[in-house]
Amino acid sequence: MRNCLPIALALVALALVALAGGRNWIGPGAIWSGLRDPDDFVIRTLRLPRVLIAVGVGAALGLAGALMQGLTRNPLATPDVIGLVQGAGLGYALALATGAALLPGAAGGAAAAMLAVALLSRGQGALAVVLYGIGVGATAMAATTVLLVRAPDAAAAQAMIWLSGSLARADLATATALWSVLGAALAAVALAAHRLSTLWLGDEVMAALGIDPRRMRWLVLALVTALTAAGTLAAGPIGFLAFTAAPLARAVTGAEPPSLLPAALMGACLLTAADLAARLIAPVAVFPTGLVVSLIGAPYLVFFLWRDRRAVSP
Amino acid sequence: MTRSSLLPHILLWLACLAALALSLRLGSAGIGFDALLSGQDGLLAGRAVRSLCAMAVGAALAAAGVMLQGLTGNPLADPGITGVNAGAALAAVAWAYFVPGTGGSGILLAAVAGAGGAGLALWGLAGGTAALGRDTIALRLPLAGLAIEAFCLSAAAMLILTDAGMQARYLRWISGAIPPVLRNETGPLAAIGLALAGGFLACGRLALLGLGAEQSHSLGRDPRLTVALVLGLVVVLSGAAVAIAGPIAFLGLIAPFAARGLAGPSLSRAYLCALPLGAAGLTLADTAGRVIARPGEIDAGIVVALLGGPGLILVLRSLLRRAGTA
Amino acid sequence: MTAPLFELRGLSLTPGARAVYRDFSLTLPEGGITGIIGPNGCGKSTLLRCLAGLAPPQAGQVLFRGRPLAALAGGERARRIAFLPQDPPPQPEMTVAGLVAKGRTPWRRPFLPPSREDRRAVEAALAATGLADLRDRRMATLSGGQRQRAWLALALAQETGVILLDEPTSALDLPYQLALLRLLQDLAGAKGRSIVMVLHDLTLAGRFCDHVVGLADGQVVTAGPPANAITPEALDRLYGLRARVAPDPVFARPVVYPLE
Repeated sequence: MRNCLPIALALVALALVALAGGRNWIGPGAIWSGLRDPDDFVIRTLRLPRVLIAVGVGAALGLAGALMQGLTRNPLATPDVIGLVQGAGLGYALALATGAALLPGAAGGAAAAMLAVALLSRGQGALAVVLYGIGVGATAMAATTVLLVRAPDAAAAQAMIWLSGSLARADLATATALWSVLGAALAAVALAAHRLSTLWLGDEVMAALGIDPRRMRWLVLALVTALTAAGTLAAGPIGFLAFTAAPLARAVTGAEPPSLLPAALMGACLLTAADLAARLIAPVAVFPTGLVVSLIGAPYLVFFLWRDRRAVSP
Repeated sequence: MTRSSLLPHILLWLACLAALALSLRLGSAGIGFDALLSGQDGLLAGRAVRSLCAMAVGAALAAAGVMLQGLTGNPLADPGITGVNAGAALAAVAWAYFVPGTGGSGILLAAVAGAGGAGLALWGLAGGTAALGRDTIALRLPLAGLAIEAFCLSAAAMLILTDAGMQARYLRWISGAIPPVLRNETGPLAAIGLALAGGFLACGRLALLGLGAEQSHSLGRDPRLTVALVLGLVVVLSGAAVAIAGPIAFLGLIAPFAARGLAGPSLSRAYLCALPLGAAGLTLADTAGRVIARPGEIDAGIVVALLGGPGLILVLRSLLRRAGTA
Repeated sequence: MTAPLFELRGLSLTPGARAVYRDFSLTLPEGGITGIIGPNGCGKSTLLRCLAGLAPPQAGQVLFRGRPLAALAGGERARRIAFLPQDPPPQPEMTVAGLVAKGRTPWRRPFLPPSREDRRAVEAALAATGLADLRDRRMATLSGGQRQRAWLALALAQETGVILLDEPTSALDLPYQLALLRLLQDLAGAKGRSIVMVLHDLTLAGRFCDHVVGLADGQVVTAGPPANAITPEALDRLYGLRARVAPDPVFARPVVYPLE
C-alpha cells in the first residue's frame, strides 16, 4: 500500500495536467470553475470524459495484465499480447454490426479469444500460449478491420483510428459504463486481495494455503474478461499497455508481485500521459492514443527480449 | 525434371493465370469481358497494371519467405511476422515525410534500407548467432518480430496521421494495399524482377548451407557469402514489395508453407512453387477485397491477414508438434 | 486414547495414468518428526500431497485426528496443516519478508491489513529460520539454501499444528541441513508441532526422526522408531541394498553402512 502513494500522486498530477492541456491550455482556476459548472463545454464535455476514460481504461488494462501475468506466471501472457484485447475488439465490432449490446459483445469476444488460445495451446508450455495468442489476435484484428471498413459510414481513416486505440469519442455515458465495470472489479479484487496476493506462488502452494486454485482461476479469468472488454469498449484495442504496466510499476515502486494496485495505477498514468501526448502531437486532427502507447510498450518488449535473450525459454 | 514433377508447376501457373483473369474481370464495379476488351476508359489497362503489381508483390513476398525460412531453418520466418516489412514501411514513410518529392527511387532505397535495419534488429533480439540451431530461436522469432512490427507501424502511422498530404497517399498503403493506378512503381517492379531471378540462383547455395556451414565450405561455397547474398535478396524483395503495396504480412508465411507441402524437401522446387502461389494468392486477395465490400474496397493486406492469422496458427501447430515429438 | 494424527484406510491414489497406491493403509502418530523414506518414484511425494489434502484419493479415507480430511474446508485445513512442495516456483522479485507474509493467507480477513498477530507470526518465522537480517532482500539475490529457508519460513508463519515438508533439505549444504533439522526438532519438541517430511538421507532420517515409514511399490515396508525401522532387512526390501546398520557412538542412532 505504502509504495502505491508515489504513483497515486503522479496520477492525480497527470490527470490535472491532462485537464489543463490540449489545444488551449487552461489555468487551475478555470479547471475548478469548469468542473463545477455543468454547462462548461471544454472541461465538462470534452476533457473530463476523456481523462476519466484514459484513467479508467489504463487502470482496467493494467489490472487485467497484472492478474493474467500472475495467474500464468508468465510476463508475456497479457490480454494484449495473447489476443484477448483484439478478441474484445472483434466482439465489439460484431455487436455494433448486429445491433447487439456492446459490453456483453466485447466480453464475449474476449472470452472466445481466451478459449481459443487455451484450447490451441493446451499442454504445450508457456511460449505456445503467447504464440497462439499472437495468431488469434492477428486473426481477430483482421476480421475487425473487415467489419469496420464494410460499415457504411466508416471511412478507412476512422476505422484505423479506432483500431489503433483512440479516446476521441469519449463521452460521459461510455465513462460511466467503464467505471462501473472497473469499480466492480476493484471491489472484487479488494475482497479477495489476500488470496490474489498468492497468484505467483503456483497451484501447489496456493492450495496448501487453503485457496482453491480452480476457483481462483475462474475468478481471475472472469475479472480479466470484464476488464479487457470494458477497456476495449471505451478506447478500442490498445496494445502493450497491459503488458507494460505491472513490470513498470514494480520497477518504479519496488512493489512485489502480483502488484495489482500499483499496476492499475501505473496503467492509468501511462494512458493518461499517452493521451495527453496524442492530443498535443496533433491538436487539430484526431490522433490515436494507442499509437503512443505502442511507441512506449513495443520498446519495452524489445528490452524484455534483449535482457532475456540468453535465457532458454520454455 | 520429369514430367510428373513438372505437372504441379504447370497447374500452379495455370491457377495464377486464372487468378489474373478473375482480377481483370471482377472489380468494385462489375464489367463484362467484352466491355473490358473494347478498351473503354483504359479500364483494362488500369486493372492490368494493378494485377501486375499484385502478382509481383505476391511473388516477391513468397520468395522472400522461402529464402528467409531456408536460411533460419524456421517456418515462421515471414518478412511480415518478423517485422522486416514494417521496418521497410517506416523507412519509406519517414523518407516521404522528411524528404518530400524525391520520387520512387528514393522511397525504394529507403524501404530496402529499412528492411535491412529491421532484419538486423530482429537477428539480435531473437538470440543472434548464439541461439542458432536451438529450438528457442524458432519460437522467439515471432515475439521479436511483434515488437519490431508494433513499433515501426506505430511510428509510421504517427507520421502519416499528422500530415494531410501523407494521409492521402499512405493511409491505405500502411495496412497493405495494391495501388489502383501506377504512380512510380516501375523501379520497384524492376527490382523485384531482378531479385526473383537472383533468388532462384541463390537457392542452390542456400540448399548447400542447409547441409551445414562446413559442408558448404568444403563444396566451395563460402557460407558467409551465401548468408549475405540471401539476406540481401530478401531485403531487396521485401523493400520493393513494401514500396509498392505497403507492409503485407503472412503471405510470406502461407505461400512457402504450401509450397513446401507441394514440392517436398528441395529448396529450389519450393521456390519455384512459391512464386505462382504467392502471385495468385495476392491477386485473389486483392480481387476478393474489391468484390466482398462493394461498392467499397477492402485492402489486400487486410484480406491476407484475415487468412494469415489462421495460417500462423496452422504453421505453429505443425512446428510445435514437431518440437513435441522430437 | 486420542486419535492418531493421520489414519489412511483402504486408499487408492492415481496421480497420473499409473496407480501408485491400491488399498493402502497407514497410521501416523501425533507429535514429533515422522520421516518418510523410500526409493525414487515410490510415491512419497504423492502420499504427502494426499495428506495435505491436495491430491484427494480415488477411493478410501484419510482421517485427520479422527475426522475425515475431506470434510475440512480449504481455509480450515490450511490453519491446521502446512505443506511445502519440493520445488516451489521461483519468486525472483519477491522480498523474503513479503514471501513469508503469504504464509498468513489462511488467517487473513478481507479488507483488513495484516493484524498484529500476523506480523508477530512473520517475525517469529523469520527469526526461527535465521532470516531476520535478510528480510528486505529479493529472492533472486539469495543463495539456494537461503531461498529454501525462506520457503520454510512461509510454512512456519502459517502457524499450524502439523507441517508437511517434501525434502526440505535437498538444496542445502550439510551444516545447513543439520541446522534446519535441529530447528524442526525444536519445533516438534518444545512447541509441540507434528512434522511429517519426505527425506532422502537415511542417516539424517535415523538421527532426527522420531518415527520412520519406509515405502516401496505403494506398500509400507517398515514403520516405527528409527532403531526398529531402519534395519538391514528393511533396506534390502526398500532399495535392494545390502547394508549393515549400527548405532553411532555419539547419539546411539542407527547409521547405514552399505556393503556394496
